[in-house]
Order: sequence, then C-alpha cells, then structure tokens
Amino acid sequence: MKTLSKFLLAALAASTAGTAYAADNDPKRFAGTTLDMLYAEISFIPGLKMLLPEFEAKTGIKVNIETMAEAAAVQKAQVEAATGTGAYDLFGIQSGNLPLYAQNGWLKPVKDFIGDASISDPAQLQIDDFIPSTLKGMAYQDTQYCLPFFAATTILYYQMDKFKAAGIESAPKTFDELLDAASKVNTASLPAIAVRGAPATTAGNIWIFNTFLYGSGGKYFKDFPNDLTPVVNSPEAVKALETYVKLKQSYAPKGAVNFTFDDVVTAMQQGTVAMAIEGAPLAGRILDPKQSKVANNLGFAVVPGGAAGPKPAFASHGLCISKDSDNPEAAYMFLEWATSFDTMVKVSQNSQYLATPRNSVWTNKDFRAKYDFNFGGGSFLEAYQASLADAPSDYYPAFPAWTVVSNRMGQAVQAAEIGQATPQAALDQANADITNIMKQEGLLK
Amino acid sequence: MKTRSTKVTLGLYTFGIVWGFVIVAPVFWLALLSLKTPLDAFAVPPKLFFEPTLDAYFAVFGDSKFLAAIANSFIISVGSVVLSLLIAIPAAYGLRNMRGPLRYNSMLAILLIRMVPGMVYLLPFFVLYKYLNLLDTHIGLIIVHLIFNVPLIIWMLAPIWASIPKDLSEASRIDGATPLQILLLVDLPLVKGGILASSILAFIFSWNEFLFALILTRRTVVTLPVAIVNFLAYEGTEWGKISAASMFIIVPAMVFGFLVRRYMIAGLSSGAIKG
Amino acid sequence: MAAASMPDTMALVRLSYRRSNSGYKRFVIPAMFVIAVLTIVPILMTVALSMTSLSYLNTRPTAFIGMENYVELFRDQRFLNSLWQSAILIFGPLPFQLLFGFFLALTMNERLPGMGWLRLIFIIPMFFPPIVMGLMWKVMFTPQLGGINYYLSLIGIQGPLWLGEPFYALISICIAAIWGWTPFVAVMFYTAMQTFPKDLYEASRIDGATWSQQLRFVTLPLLRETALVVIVFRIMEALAIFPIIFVMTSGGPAGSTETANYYAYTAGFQFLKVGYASSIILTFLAMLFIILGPATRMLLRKVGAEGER
Repeated sequence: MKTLSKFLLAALAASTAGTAYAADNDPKRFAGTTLDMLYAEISFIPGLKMLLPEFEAKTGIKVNIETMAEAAAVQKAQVEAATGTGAYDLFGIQSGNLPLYAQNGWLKPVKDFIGDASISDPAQLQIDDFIPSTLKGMAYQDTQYCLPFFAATTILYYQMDKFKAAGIESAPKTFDELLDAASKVNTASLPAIAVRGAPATTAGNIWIFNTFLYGSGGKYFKDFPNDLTPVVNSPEAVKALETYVKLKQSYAPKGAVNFTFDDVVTAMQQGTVAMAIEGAPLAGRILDPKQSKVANNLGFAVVPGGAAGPKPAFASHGLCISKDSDNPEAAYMFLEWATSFDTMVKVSQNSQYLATPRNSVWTNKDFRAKYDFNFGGGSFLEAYQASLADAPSDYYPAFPAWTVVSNRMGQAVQAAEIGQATPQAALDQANADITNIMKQEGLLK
Repeated sequence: MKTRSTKVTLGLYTFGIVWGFVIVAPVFWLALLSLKTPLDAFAVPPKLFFEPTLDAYFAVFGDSKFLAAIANSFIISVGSVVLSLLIAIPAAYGLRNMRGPLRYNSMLAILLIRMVPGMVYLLPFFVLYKYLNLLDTHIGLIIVHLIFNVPLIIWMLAPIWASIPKDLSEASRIDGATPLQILLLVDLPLVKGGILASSILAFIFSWNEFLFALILTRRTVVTLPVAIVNFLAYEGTEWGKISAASMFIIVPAMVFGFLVRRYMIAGLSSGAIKG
Repeated sequence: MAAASMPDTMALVRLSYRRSNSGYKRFVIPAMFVIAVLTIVPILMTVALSMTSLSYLNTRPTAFIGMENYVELFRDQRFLNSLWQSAILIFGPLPFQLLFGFFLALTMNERLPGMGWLRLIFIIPMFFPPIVMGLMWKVMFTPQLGGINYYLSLIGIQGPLWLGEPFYALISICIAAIWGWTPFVAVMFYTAMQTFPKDLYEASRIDGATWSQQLRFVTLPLLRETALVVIVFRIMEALAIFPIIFVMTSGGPAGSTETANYYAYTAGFQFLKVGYASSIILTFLAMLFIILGPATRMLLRKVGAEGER
C-alpha cells in the first residue's frame, strides 16, 4: 500500500515536472557541451561508461570519464580541486573524503540544483529512494553535496563445506566465535581467513580494522566532534587490535599484511582461504562464474562483533560537481541521470555492479534474479542489507584531517601485525602521534 | 710468459653466467606471467608449463589509451632530447673554452641542480603550469625534462670536448673563424659520437620518468610508466595485462639498447671516465 | 712591494679570464638562463611555501610561520625514520653494486666463448623503466605470484615474507636496486678498463705477479677515479628508486620503507599538508647537499683540471 502511494506521488510529480519541462526548456539545451569526470574504476563506472551514448543521445552532452588507480585518482582529484584548475566538471568522491572537499569549498552542492525544474526531474531524482545512510554520507554539516552511486559495506564470506567439515554449525557472530572458527578450519594448506592489510590507509586495513575497533567498543576521539582528544589506546582499542593481530598472525595467508582488496578477492575466488571479511560489493567478482572456484559453496553473514555488537564497514561513493566547472547545470543533469533508478538497473545488468544505494533497485526483479545468491548458506542480498542496516554511517569520522589520522592508525595496525610492536605499544605511540597531528592542524589545543 | 691461471678465468666465467641468470630469471618470469590465464597465475606451486594465451597482449594492444601512451612517451622523449641538445651543445662548447672560476662555478651549479630530487619542483610546477595552461601538454613535460637532460648532456659533453685536441680550432681561429663557425664546422663533427651517446642516455631518462608524468598529466599526454600504473587497480589488479604491458615497454627498449650499445658504452667511457 | 703587486697579478689573471671567456659566454648564457628559470623559481616557491602553514586539512587561514615547520620536523618520528630509511636505501645497495659491478667488468673484459651474448644480457636492466623493475620484483616477491619462495623451499630454505616484514622489505628494494643499477657500474668500470695501458699488465706479469696481485696493485689503483665518479653518480641517481617503492611497498609495511622524498610526496599530495611537505623535501635536499658536496667538488676539480689543457 505504502509503495503504491509513493509510486502514485512520484508519477504525479513526474507528470507535472514533465509539463514544466516541455514549456520551459528542452533536454537538449546543453547540447554540444563536454563534461569531464575523474574517478577510480570501481564497479559501476565501467557499466556507466557503456551507457554514455544513451545520455549523449538524450541530451547532446558528451561525457568523458577518466579512471585511474584508486590512490592516484584520489590524489589527482585533490590537487586539481585545491588549485582550482577546473579541468574536471565532476569528481567521484567517497564519503570519508567528502569533508575535505566540503570544508574547502571545492564543490557546488547538489542541493543548489535540486528543485530547479529546468534541469532537475523529481521523478528521476526520487531522493527519498536513496538509503538514508548513503545520502548522509554524501552530505556535510547538513548540506547535500553529492548524490551516491555506491553503497559499500563488508560481509563475512565463508566456504560452507570447509565449515561443515570442521564441525562448525553456523557463521561466527562474535570475535571469540570468529577466532574459534578460524582455529578449527585453519590448516597448513588452507589458511582460515583473508582480510586487507595494505595500504595503511582509509581504503586499506583501516576499512577492516574499524570493525574490530568499534565492535569492541573502542573509538578514535573522546567525543567527536566536540572533544577531539584521541583515545585510540583505550583498553577496548587494545583488545580490538589484539584480536585482529591474533587473527592475522595465526590464521591468515602468508604476506597478508600486504593484501589489498584485490588479493583478498583473488584468495576467496580461488578458494585458497576458508573465510574473508571483504566488501559486499565485490561479491559480483568473487562469484564470477568465469573465474570463481567457490561459486556454489559460499555462505554470507554479517561480520562478527564484540561487546558493542557487529559494526560492518560503511562508505558511500558519490558523484560531485566541481566548483570550477564551467557547466554545473549540465553536470548536474548528468549526475542525476547517472544515479537514477533506470541507469542503476541497467548498469547492474551490463556489469558486476550491485552496490546500489537505491531501495527500489534492491527490490527490482532483474536485480534480484542476478544477484540474490543463495547456495544454502543464507541469502546474499539479505546479508548485505542487514550489514548496511548495522553499519554506522560515521564509520569514518567526518573531518578533513581523517586521511592523516587513518594513515597513522593504519601504520600502527601494521606494526602490531608484523610484530614490530605490541598492540599496546603501537597504539600508545599512535595516540601520541595523532594528538600531535591534531595539534598541528589546530584541532586540539 | 706465464699464462693466466685457468682457475681465475673459470671463476669469472661462472660468475658471469650466474649473473646472467640472475638478470634473465625475473624477466623470464614476467614474460611467463604475461602468457598465463589469471587462474594459472595464482597456481601453487607455480606453473612452468601451461597453455599459453595471448589474451593479455590482445587486451593491451586493443587499449587505445595504452597505444596513445606509447606515442606520448615517444614524442616527449624525442622532443626533450632535441630541445636539450639545442641548449646543451653550445653550453658545453662554451664551457670547454672558458677558464677560471666562472667555468668552475657554472659546472658546480649544473651538477648541484642535477642532484635536486624531483619532489622539490613538483608542486610549484603544477601551480605554474596551471597558470600557463601547460598541464597535460607534451610541451609541458618536455620543458620539465630539460631540468634533468640539459645538465646531463652538458656534463657528458664537456669532458669529451676537453679530450679532443685544440689544434684544429686554434688554427681556424687564427684564420679568422668566429666561435660559432668553429663550433659548427670544426668541433661538432669531432664530438658527434659523444652527442649520440648523451642523447641516448637522455632519451632513456625521459622514457622512464615517472613522477612528473604522474602529476603533470591528466588524460591526453599520459606516458607509458603512468599508463602501466593505471592497470594496477582497474577492477582488480590484472597481472597478466600488467606484465604484457611491461613486455611492450621492455622489448622495444632492449632492442633499441642492443642497437645503440656500442655508442652508449663509448659515450659513457669518454663522458664519465676520462672526465 | 710583494703585497702591492699581488692584487695586480690577480687582477691581470681575472682580466685574462674575462677576455678569453668573453666570446664564449653567450654560448653558455641560454642554458644557464633556462636552467635558472626552471629550477630557481620553483625552489624559491617551495622555500616560501615551507614557511607557511598551508594545509587543506583545517579551516585556519594560511599564515607565515617562519621556521616552525622545520622545528616540527625534528619532533616528527616519521620524518626521522624516513631519513634513516633513505640512508639505507641510498647507501645499502652501493657496496654490492660496486663489488658485483667490478667483477662483472672483469668478466666482460675476458675473451671467452659466448661473451658477446653475456655482455648483451648484462646491460638489459639499463633499459628497464624503474616502474617496470618495481612491478617485476613485486611479482617475484609476492608469495602468491612469484616463484622465489617456492624455489627456495625446493632447496630446503624457508623464504621470508619478503614484502611483509620491515627488514626484508628494505632488502627486497635493495635487491631490485642492485639488479637494476649494477650493470651501469659494470659498464663504467669495463669501459675504464679498456683504456688501461696494456704494458703495465705486461710488466707486472713478467715480474711474476699473480692475478690477485695484479688486481690489487694495477687494476684497483687505476679504477680509483672511476669509482669516485660511479659513487657520486649512483648516489645522485639513487632517488630513482621512488617508482620502485611506489609499486613494491608504497612505503610499508608500517612505514618501514618510506624514504624522505616519499614522505614528502605523501604529505604533499595525499595529506595536502603543503607547507609541511615543502619543509620535508627542502631539509632532505640540504642533507643531500651536505653529504654530496665534498664528493662533488672532488669530481669537479678533476674535470676542471682537464679543462685547462
């Protein structure tokens, strides 16, 4: 009933907007414009590229999407934005990085365009359809800067037959159960678990470690954002790191401290580990029938938690308009089209993209047919949605200096993992250094 | 006359063969990887025998961005070498004929500049180029490469020049030739071997340069080393493609190297040793 | 008398320099001008930036803070570590490059069957872009991809986690650097050996010197100058390992392979702490100059002397 009324409302809005459109402006009024966009090639982007001719046919706007290795793309975008070159009209930005852009005024917030009937179509936008946390991840201090195209969280993948053989009934729900399960399935030829270890940044080991930190009841700051005194050496944090280190030292493949998401995906795909905690959006690749050796054998579950319950990772990635864009309206038209229901469904079908931030796509028949994997160990989409529901939307504290803090913390986690320092010592040192970083940036007296 | 003990010869021979193996083994491994399917690439134990596939090569060769990168690298390397020679040859000639502290200080300054890590220039160049509209242009990178290549060529040529006898140019001078005439008609033909050798080294520096290319280009003039790095995180690291792309860079470079090795060795010897 | 004539002679010398140099200055000036514009302007900009608080991580207005960044540097453990690691990665491979390069040059100097081919193989790495070198060695050292540990295990050695432990990660990068730049050293030595007077060897042989004696009393002394040139060149070019670090370890694990210029790159382009990053790289530059200064002057004196011929 509720969805029906929503649909009717949307249809009504669409028809009124449609009339306004015809009278006011035609969609081709920016024909001949060229837009440039920069981001890393995460899933969605390749599929989106394939649909660009459609957008060009509709609006006459040509879009160039440039992709680079993730770290390189992030750095390039930052430098271009900071120096105001205006070389790119659109940036892809992930939620952890948004505060930097927002605070420095490098973006034109999408809120300025929403509701402008000449370029915005509420039926296409359907802003209430976005999962709230993903929308919030693309906002800074209550201003909507960007629109999300990607909702990332982590889940636990496990090989069901290995679990059965080891006599484990169900997926581990707590860190203790996780360690226990790992000790049971771990053999010399089949390490129990793969998780990222590198690089020591937001996109690397911190993406996983925060699950342990928050799950154990630890946090980064005394009371973000009011009291920015670092507390990363609290007893809870030390316990979290001890768990993490135990897991990686005893039950992870050799060299796991250098594992990037790609190595984890490969390990799971090849079945060379029994479990992995990795991004849910990567299931498309992990289960790719052309490459996967474990396709029919995987179970999916929400990541384990500690005293504070499960805290799956969370990030949203969105499309944003550069303040130096010459054609912000055209850029907005593209952005709204790219994040629309229609586009997302199409991209989910023409590529391995499944990390949609739109509720309506989650319930779409074609989408479910392609991605609702269930090999007898629970539904993948259910595990994904449950994780998104559990995932804290402030998984990364929203302030620009976070990149430095996460980098320092990532190094501490690595140092403990390779036995260079005890968890306590590594975190004590990190706490001192982070205090110093905060002072240097004038965030702490 | 005693002949050298065969033990020594044998020892050196063995060392040479071992070192040859050390050099070839990783290259061979990379070549194998470029012919493997992703599944074979991660096989344990590593497979020496497998069904080779050229998929990665077709993928790389079909990538228009990568082909453009080859062209860009070539244009920038050649452009920078030519421009560097135009600036550096007269300078080396002038310095060879100068005396006293001016010469000494000039040479010192040039050498010190060669030592400065590229990082020092990186951000200022980005900002300057933004205002000059030189970001992501061939000429922009060519100009930056002058920083490395002009000193390199001067430093290689100056001692080569010093080693050729002055009699001819002295004689021409007495006959009333201007310094420019002497440079073009008398000295240049004598140092052409050195010029060739220093050009080769400068070309290699430009061809391999990574840091500036990474920061100062966007999409149109991406060079080979940067293009390769961009394969690193495309939807997952495709080692097959990366190694195939690497082969694309190495093989022409090696063929080029074999062709010019004689000049390079000659250049190195006269340039750095006699200097 | 003597005191009065001294300045006169000096003035005369200077005058003669000026006169003989005057025709040639205009050949040098364009190059000097280009180099000055391309280097001094950016360096001055970097110096200026290093005295500001410019950072995009906070909302404070950017201020001139004098030497504060430099003071901060010496309290920054990460910077101090990076200096130490730079030293290891610059000087660590050097003795091995010299040693192997020397023996390689001796080998190249032999007339043996197949030596032509071996010589070709020896110089292969000279044409390798460092970025490809880094990728290649990353493949070799990654347990899942490279064969190194597998083959070590065949001969009963349990290989270390090359890129997974600070010590071995440094070793791995050193190995890549030794592989990559030993050929340069070898070629330099080899070409120098070509110029050695044959009669010296002849004479020592007649005197009954053994091979090792020849090496010690003839070859090595003759190579001393070349060795100096090689060392200065190698140190100057040692920072070319940046791309190798970039792809092999990204400075990890736990920052253990981060050199000072890599830290400056991270601070500047990843963290956008522009002022601070500028002070890192300038301090590093100053240290390089202090270390390389004496060697450079020695090198220069040699060239300078020959220029007078």
